Amino acid sequence: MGLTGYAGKILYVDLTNNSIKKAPLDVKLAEDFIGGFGFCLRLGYDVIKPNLDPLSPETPIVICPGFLNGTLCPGTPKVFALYKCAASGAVTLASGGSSLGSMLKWAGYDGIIITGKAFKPVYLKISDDEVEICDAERIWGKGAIATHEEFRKRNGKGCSTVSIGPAGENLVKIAIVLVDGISHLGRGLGTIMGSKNLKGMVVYGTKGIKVAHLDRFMKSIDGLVERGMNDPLRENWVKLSLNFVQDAWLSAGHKVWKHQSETVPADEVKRIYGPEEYLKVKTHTVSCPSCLACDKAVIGLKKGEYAGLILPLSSPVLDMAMPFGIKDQGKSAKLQWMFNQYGIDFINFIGLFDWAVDLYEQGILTKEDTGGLELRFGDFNLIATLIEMTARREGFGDILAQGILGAEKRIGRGSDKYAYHIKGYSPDFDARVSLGVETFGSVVSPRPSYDMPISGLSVVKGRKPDFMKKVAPKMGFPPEVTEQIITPEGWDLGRFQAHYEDWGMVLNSFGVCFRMQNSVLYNNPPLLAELYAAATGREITSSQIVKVGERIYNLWRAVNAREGFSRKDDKFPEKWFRPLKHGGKQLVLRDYFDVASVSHEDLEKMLDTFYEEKGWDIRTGIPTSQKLKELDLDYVAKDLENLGLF
Amino acid sequence: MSSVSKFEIVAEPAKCVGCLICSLRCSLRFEKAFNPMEAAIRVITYFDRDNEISFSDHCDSCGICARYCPYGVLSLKERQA
Repeated sequence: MGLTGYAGKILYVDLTNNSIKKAPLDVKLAEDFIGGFGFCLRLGYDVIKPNLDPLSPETPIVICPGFLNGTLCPGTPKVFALYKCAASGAVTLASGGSSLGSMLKWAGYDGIIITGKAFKPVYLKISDDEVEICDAERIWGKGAIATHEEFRKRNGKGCSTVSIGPAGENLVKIAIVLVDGISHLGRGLGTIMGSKNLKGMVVYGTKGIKVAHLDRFMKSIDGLVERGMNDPLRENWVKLSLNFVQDAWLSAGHKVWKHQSETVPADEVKRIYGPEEYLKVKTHTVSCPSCLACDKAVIGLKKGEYAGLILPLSSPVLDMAMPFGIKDQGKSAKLQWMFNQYGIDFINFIGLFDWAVDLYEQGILTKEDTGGLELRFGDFNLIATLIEMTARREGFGDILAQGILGAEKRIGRGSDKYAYHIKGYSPDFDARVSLGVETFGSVVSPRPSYDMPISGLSVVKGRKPDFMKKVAPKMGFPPEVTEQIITPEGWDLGRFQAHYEDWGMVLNSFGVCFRMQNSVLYNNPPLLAELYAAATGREITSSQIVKVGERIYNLWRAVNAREGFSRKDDKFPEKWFRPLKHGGKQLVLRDYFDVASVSHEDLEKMLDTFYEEKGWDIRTGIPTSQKLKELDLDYVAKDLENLGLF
Repeated sequence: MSSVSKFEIVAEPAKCVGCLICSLRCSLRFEKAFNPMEAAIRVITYFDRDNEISFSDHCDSCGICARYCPYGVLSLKERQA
């Protein structure tokens, strides 16, 4: 069909039958879903049959690069994967950076659909038109980092790699995928790859990408580069990564420990893990393709117990280990290396560990359950042992390997009352610190704990309604909606969230990075419309772009409605209704602008307005037939009707 | 071709982050496509040492890579006699 700006083909890999097929990219798919996560969902919709076991061979993995991947557009490396999460049962997404999305496009593919299960361990090798299912028996059992290194050794230094570790192989439900040895496609995708005997992928592309109107396209890029390079915070991001905002986040209360009862001591964190300490161990800055303000980095330990350890990190913040009670940069680096090597999701493991310690302190878990291990904070050897036991599913590790929902069932004894999760996954942000789009969004999203910090909008309290009013139109909110839902006193968070989610899906289709230094450049519907038109030669309006975002979010919700998800699953963690000790004060659930406290009932009302603004059934939280048809999703409306969901 | 130019591109690999902006921009000039594999400048990234930056015979030291490099890695210098 020759749509410029796209690579032009979709790749179908059936591991059971050792079959590889290619199909031309469908114009309607391109126009209705743009790319990235939009493509994942539309391509996945037909092949994810409702109620499939996530680990069954029929369950697909769909991987699609964002539309702008592989071009010079700054900060657009995001590649997406759609799969059914074994920890929650939801059809969910993983998103990652580095060069995978660009390489796929340079090799000629706008998407890959992987189904089936290989007879023995394999990896997928893509080099332009040559696609091979290769033997991986010799590398099965290796760590994800070691596999990345082996792939590079075998296939040249310039290729992109995807690898899982022992956790994915052993179907640990919180297994992740390592991309290029540094980024992740996280939160359970590694489990699904393991279930297919798929150890990884190697991608090398030499075809490049052409656009319809190069001068027009470059004019927009030059404007973006000028803005990006003149960002006064740019140098801070490159030098310090997220450590640059550590102080602000700690002051706000953004690092909670001890069973979500208190925030970590800020002074201690800054002393051990502050920016100055970080710079002592940082050796290199690492970028995704086309990034002007990259913040990935390599940690290289020169002294101490782990001297010689080299740790590439996508989010190089060593204070991540503080909630374990680990107060040492070397030990933190070693733990993060272990998570990458074994292929386990760090955030969910911390949540599981914290919960297990709580249960142990309460006497619900005993040494009989743990195989003699005494569960406590701050014990590095214990944590390292548990990571390994979880990856290998040995002893108590096999319980942690089930994820929170699975572990609750195995432990029983009222353990669920102590668990802290949303749809089975540990939240990144706490609503007592800030009830904003990141925390409310993690409750309503089909992805467990999926929070989209577009420009870090409400991660920290302090912004005024006027600021939100200025930002909203940049995220495609209709002017009359902006007027109605943001007043001088505050916002209607439920309705704000409804439009914010759609904008997140727009960015997800284009492949825009969510780091605030990048996403802020693209909060601009006319710019995205112009980039799309210049690349494809097909004119598109800003409102059509926003409608694509709405279509994607509705389809995602509908896919999960088929799986049985509804309003009953959009639950706020009970711990958010208890006080959180922060320094000398207590944080309680209050609205973002700090005007009033927020009750359980208030949050339920926010859910009402969220569903109403989305045009969904308030009772069920499921998109209505009318809404789906309005978004040209008639086939979805018919399916949901046949399932009796209206 | 590079031998005829008065200028040469000087690279400081220690500053390189591997963003590939140089090779993407270079490839536009030669191929009218975003394709680092067809660029006259090539960057290979490493985690345990500085990245490798090399130039093919196609490089005519036009300097566009240096103009677009956001990290101050590349500069255009007058060639020493």
